[in-house]
Amino acid sequence: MMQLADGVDVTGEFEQNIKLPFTMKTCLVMNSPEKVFSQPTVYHKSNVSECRTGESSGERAQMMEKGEPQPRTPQGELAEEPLEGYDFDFCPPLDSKYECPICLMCLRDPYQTYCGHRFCKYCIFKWLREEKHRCPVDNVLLDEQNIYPDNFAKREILGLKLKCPNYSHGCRFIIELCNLESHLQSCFYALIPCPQCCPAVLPRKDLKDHIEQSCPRRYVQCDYCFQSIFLSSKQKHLLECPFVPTQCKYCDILLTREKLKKHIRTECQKAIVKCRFYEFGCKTEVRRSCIDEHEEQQSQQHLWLLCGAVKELYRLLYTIVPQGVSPLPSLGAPASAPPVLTHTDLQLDDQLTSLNLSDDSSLNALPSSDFTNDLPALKNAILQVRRLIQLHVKPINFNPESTQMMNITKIESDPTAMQSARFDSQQNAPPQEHESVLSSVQTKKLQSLQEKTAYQDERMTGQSQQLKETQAKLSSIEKKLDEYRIRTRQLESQVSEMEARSCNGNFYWVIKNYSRLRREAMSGDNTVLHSPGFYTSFHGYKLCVRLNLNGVDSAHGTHLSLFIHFMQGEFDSFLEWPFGGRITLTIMDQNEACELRQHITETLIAKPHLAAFQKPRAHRNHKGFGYMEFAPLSLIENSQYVKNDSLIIHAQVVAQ
Amino acid sequence: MANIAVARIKREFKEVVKSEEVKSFEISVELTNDTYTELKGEIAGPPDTPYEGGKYQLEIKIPETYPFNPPKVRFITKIWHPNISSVTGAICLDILKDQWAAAMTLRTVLISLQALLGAAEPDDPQDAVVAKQYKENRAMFEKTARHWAYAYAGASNRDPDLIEKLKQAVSMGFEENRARTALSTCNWDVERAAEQLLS
Repeated sequence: MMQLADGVDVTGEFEQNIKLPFTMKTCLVMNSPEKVFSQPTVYHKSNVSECRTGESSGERAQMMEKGEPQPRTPQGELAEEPLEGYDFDFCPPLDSKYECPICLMCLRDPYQTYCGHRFCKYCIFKWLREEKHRCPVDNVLLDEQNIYPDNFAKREILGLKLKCPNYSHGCRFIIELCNLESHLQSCFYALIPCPQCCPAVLPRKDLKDHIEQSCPRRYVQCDYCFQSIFLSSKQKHLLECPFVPTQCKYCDILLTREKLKKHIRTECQKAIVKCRFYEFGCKTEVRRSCIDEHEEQQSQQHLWLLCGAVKELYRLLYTIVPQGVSPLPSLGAPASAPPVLTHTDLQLDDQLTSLNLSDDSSLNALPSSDFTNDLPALKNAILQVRRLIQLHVKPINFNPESTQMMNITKIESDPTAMQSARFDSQQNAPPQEHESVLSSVQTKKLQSLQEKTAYQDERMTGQSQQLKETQAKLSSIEKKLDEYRIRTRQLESQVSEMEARSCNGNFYWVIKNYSRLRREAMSGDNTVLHSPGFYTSFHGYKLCVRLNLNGVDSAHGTHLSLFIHFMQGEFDSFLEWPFGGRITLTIMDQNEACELRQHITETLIAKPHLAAFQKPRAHRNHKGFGYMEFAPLSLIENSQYVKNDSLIIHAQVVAQ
Repeated sequence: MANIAVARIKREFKEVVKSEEVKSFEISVELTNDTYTELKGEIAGPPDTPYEGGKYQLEIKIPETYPFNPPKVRFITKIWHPNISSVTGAICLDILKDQWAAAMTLRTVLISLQALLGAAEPDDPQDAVVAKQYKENRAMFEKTARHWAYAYAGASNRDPDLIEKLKQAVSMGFEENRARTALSTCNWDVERAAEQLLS
């Protein structure tokens, strides 16, 4: 109780004392009283709350153990993180004057008491809040108003050098305390947990390699489909990825898994395929290459199977369709079979007997009684089939004498065929009738034709699709090509512009096809030639040379005329106008022998008053300056000035 | 244990181990568990005192709130001193109570205790019997204290007279430690001691 009373008392005292200086400060220095007031308010509150919670030090210790927030520091910060001194390996070792006597570590936010002792802010406030109002070093009376932030010491401490805390992991940096935080954020040796949630914790320098190369939870790229996948699921992915090259188990060809499926399904000649009559009972499985042969050999057998199936179908139909409303009223129960069937029945019996006698196959072992018992049912089924077919065919073209009808009838009424259908395991082909063989071959051919057509159709669809895609691609490529062409033209003009700029006023103009151009000039088709523009310096004037191959005005027909024209350049705005300087125009002598060369050279000085030297108003100044009679045409053509049908003109322009 | 307490004890432990006093065998400290919550200290009896030549072991318990609260220290080795309980070893020393200051360390505590052995405070006693003897019969106190140092703290200063008296008491059938305490309390009067032991 004594402690509690003390605490309250101190708070009251504190409230009275602290408000005054803050208020004064507000009036004198600060312009925003609320802002300043907020501080002492928090300060005061925290102090009160501490008095409430911390009635005794023992109780507080208990609370801290339970993870309750620790008492607030004066500025209202929560002291959750360790705020006692810096525990680092200082280099050189820490001077004891920077050691907090309470935590024995390097002072953090040092406070100095009026008795001249320094402590970490956290340590000294915690000490004073323990209701101990004496200096921890010399026991003089002390309270929170007698301690002050020691910014001098703080600045010195922040300048102290220390070994990086990751020294033990290999970092050899010696850093100033104030730079520690920024260093730690980039320290190569700082231990960082793997961001991909694997349990690894490793130095920052190894993190990249770990994430990319060794983390068990890293992403890897599938070598085949280039998808990003978890390493752990790579094996599974490789078993599913449609782009993994896989060997065909039949013909050893290597294809992507996706294509392989189609290959096995439709193409591979060595693939084991089921007979097309599989559903009907032919359980043969042979290589695709042999399937045609199989079908050819076993056509009879297949036909029987079909027969059996059809019969079964009708039996089902019969059971489904109620007796009273039967669409086939004439098809009664097997007992009421028409007399014609009885006749067939007899024939069947006869043939069976003959078969039994002639054939020593397993048929002998068959219980003939069972077989004969089944006959009426079979016949009945056949009859139903026949009637059904008639019913269906009649509306279109019912002709009972037609070959097709005959064939069907014959096949269906063939007792041996039926017999075979009953016992489809029987391997020995019974005697065949020519018609049925014929029909089976035809059916088969038809089937194969239909299949081929279907296959062709499918391919055609695929190809037309491909064609469309290719066309789309082509048009996009053409579009790109156009873009590139434009770009190339731009670049070309840029290059020539750069060339023009970098000639430094020394411009050589090679006029090719001289004779043709001369003819054109003489005929009057094209009397004037302009050279590409060039600059006097990189950021200089832009000019071009104008040439009249047949002369102008008074020189027409006798002399070659040569002029300089100023052009609008990029830097006209800051150049000096009118242009002042020297221009030398030369027609180069291309004589093989250097010593005999006699270039025709004329130098002119710019005359500022002339329109030719004013700032160009048009793309090319209309007025030029030069010589109408630069050189006699006879001289040009009778000497070495034209060589390989080319004339070379050199212009040298030097600005003042 | 709170981070700050552990961190500090570790540092202090290093400080004690490196200190001059350890080098001259005046004090020492060792860990008794890995968590730094309990330590064992030892101080040498200061010269020119009845305790000279003795080695006194101390139990040191570090509270969670260390260094804001003092460590709990007790004599393990039995000692005859006005400010230390002859029965429990409990110490009456202001710095271990209300005069504790956070700047004090294990080293300063051990040195203070050593100083206490040389400068008893009979007016603020822990053991009233010893304090009374100290004040009323200083010679007897010193004799007794020396004997205890010999008997428990390994001091070499034996007093044949007291040993003889102790033997008498033991021969009467009393346990040696009890007999010694009783004799010490009764200023080594064997009869009174026997009476006290029997009552």
